[in-house]
Amino acid sequence: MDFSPQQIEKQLDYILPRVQRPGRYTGGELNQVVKDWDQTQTKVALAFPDIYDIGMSNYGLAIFYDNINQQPNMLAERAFVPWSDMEAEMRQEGLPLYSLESKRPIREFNILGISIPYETLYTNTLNLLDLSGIPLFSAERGPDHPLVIGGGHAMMNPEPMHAFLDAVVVGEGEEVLMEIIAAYQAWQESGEPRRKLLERLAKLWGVYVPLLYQDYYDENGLFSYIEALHEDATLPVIKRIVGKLPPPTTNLIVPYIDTVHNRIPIEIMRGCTRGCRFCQAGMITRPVRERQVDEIIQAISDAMDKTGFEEVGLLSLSSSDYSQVLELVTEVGERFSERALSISLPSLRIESFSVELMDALKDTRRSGFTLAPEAATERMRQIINKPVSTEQLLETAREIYSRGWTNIKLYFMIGHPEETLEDVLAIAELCKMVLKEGTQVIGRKAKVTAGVSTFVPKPHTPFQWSPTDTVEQIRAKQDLLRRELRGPGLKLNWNNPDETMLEAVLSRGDRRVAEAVYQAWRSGAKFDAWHEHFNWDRWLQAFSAVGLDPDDYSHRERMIDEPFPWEHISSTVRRKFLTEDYLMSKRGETRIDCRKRCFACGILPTFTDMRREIPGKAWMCPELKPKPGKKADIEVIPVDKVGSGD
Amino acid sequence: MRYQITFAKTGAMRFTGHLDVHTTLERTMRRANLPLVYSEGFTPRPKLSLASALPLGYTSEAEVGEFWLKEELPVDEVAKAFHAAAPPGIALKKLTTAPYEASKLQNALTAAEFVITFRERLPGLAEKVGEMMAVAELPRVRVRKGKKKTYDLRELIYEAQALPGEGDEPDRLRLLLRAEPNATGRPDELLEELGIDPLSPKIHRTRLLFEEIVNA
Repeated sequence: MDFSPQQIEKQLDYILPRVQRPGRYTGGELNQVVKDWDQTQTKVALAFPDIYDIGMSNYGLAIFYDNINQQPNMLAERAFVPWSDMEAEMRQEGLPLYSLESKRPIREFNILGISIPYETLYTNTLNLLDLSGIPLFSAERGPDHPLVIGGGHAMMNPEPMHAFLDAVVVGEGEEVLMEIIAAYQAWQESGEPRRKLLERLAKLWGVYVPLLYQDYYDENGLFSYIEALHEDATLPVIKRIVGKLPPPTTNLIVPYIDTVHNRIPIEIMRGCTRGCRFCQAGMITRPVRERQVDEIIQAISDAMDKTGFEEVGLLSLSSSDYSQVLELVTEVGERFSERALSISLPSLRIESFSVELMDALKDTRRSGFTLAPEAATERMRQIINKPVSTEQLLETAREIYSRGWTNIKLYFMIGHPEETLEDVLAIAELCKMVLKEGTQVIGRKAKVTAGVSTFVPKPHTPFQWSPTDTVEQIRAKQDLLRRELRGPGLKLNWNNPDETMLEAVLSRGDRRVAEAVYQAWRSGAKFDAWHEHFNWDRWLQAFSAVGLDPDDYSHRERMIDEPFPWEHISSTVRRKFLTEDYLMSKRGETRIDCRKRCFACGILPTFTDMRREIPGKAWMCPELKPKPGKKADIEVIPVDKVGSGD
Repeated sequence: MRYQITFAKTGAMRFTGHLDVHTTLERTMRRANLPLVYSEGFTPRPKLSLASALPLGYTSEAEVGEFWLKEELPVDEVAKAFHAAAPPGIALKKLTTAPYEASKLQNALTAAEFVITFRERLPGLAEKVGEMMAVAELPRVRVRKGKKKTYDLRELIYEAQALPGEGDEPDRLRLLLRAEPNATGRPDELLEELGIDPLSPKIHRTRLLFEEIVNA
């Protein structure tokens, strides 16, 4: 009944000349891995629920693809959702979603791993399952269906997707994915029913099996608590981390067509010590772990030989905070400028040191320099815990313009807690002040581009209690900016407020929201991250059909002791820490970089043993004393390695 | 040092557009560690040019391009390095030093030969082709960037020859079309003129002709 690879190839031969950008659907690129299907025990499909152009730039999938294919008894192949023209052709021909490598239907794989980093991919995830011919609901899947696993940052609150995923990876996947596959293989050999597979998975650290839990609500319809239905279903499910970052993946596929980040990605550091209160990544990717300079240089060199890419992205949440950043940048500039490699170093701090770094990269383009003050008044920056002085920003801007860059891109957010129209007006004023610095240095060539997005409170952050602005509030603020931010040299970009609403509702949704996601998909919602597809009315109808009030998820300020529907998923940053930080923000108090002082967020008490095993500067958390009572464990730590207290 | 390369473009590469083919060749030469010459300026690009853009979906055994290297490397050595680094779908056919010193490759191009393989038998193909070649003018309208432009398809066709399939073989059509700047014949337009769906058959470029006089 199913399509063979030959049949799929034959259909594609007919369809592909008729769709836009057919190169999305062919596979066959340099460095793809095709293993012997019949000789391989476990087949994993790795999927990203958006088109090839976006999905091929997902760093996590590239890592898992390489890791799995390095192993002898398993294989990994890729799948992405088709754009609507291709989807129409596929549905008309009855062609199921297939893997790019061997053109096998996705439903013939053992495991389907889906990367879900943001909320606007939820309906696409359902569409991906539907196009694969896999039942959408976990409870409806049988022994012949793939095990469907989700992971990625948005899955730190997996509840709006709980019904559709058999298991969720909480935290970092490098190690646990291998354990999941091993558990799957043990189950394959056992001949047990599918339910037993889920129970085996629930035993693994960092794996959440939604079917093994039940949610409860109080008489007012507020979330009350979640109950584990099985002895192996832990409460909470603690996120998985790797103690030491493994060597970077250099076996990268080279796309035949252009993609959003068509380059070598090298992660130089994971986590961030700054503690910006709006930033979910900064809270959920702790602790901070770094890679060594020589390891990074070697990886770039290997990846260049294998791929020929002309650009490398040195990835982290805050490049300036990488402890050896100057050394790294100097070395990269010296080693690779001969080979015309361009280097992108995102997320630089607002200080003249950042300009020196960009200079050291020998970046010849000098077109745009990006800084993210996030807020324009010092009061606001204290609330969000990103204290940068306006003076420092202007000084940095002056430095940037005088070293040859003509355009400064400034990222701001509106809708921060406690924000007033004066704070918003200050964004326009600040942009003009920055531009003035530019015109003084380079005249009318100077430009400022303001990217103003709207803040959405995220689970596991100090702002998880905060209301999102209403559409009316957002419109008023955007109108103000449009009025004030005009004139030569100034450009303003902003987001559609309705799209912000969807993100707000889904990010703090509970299990009941899954029904709305399903309804929205049934009524045609997909590609919610794409303006041309997004339709907020469809979502409003879906919420109303299932009897939920979206405003309650987005605009209601949570009570300080209110239980959250995502708290059985533990980022290990404690509620106590987040509560304190939230209350501090209300008082306009900031916390310093936690490399200077540990605020006991919860990482160290959870990962005590791991930190002991990996001492020194590999982590930015303080070092721990040897275990008391165990004499054999006690050793003298050399003075230069003690602590990180600078 | 300036080199000329002839390569085949097949398989999944047929859906790689002109700009991305440039990128693919550049990356191939970067992997091969060939010392490409880069342009100056904000976005350094390698000095590399292709004689003629191949429409998306077509395969070819005769794509021709030129590139510059900083050093004078032996042709054999460059060929070997390129061959080893080429991705699936790009195959090196020929590498020489550039013969057209004076003019740009695109300007030296005169004609392109295609072989079209149909999915099914097309009764009366030879007659239709014969009729088309017998007329003096074939005025058609081409829409480019929203502007309509009338052109004569007939003067873009040097040769068109139906090749009926024998036994299980499909019917084919061989075309020799003009390929000069501002006068380029497109197989899909010719197929439309013949009343054939241009997306259905397989279109393969077999030859590019340079600085040669073609007798129409």
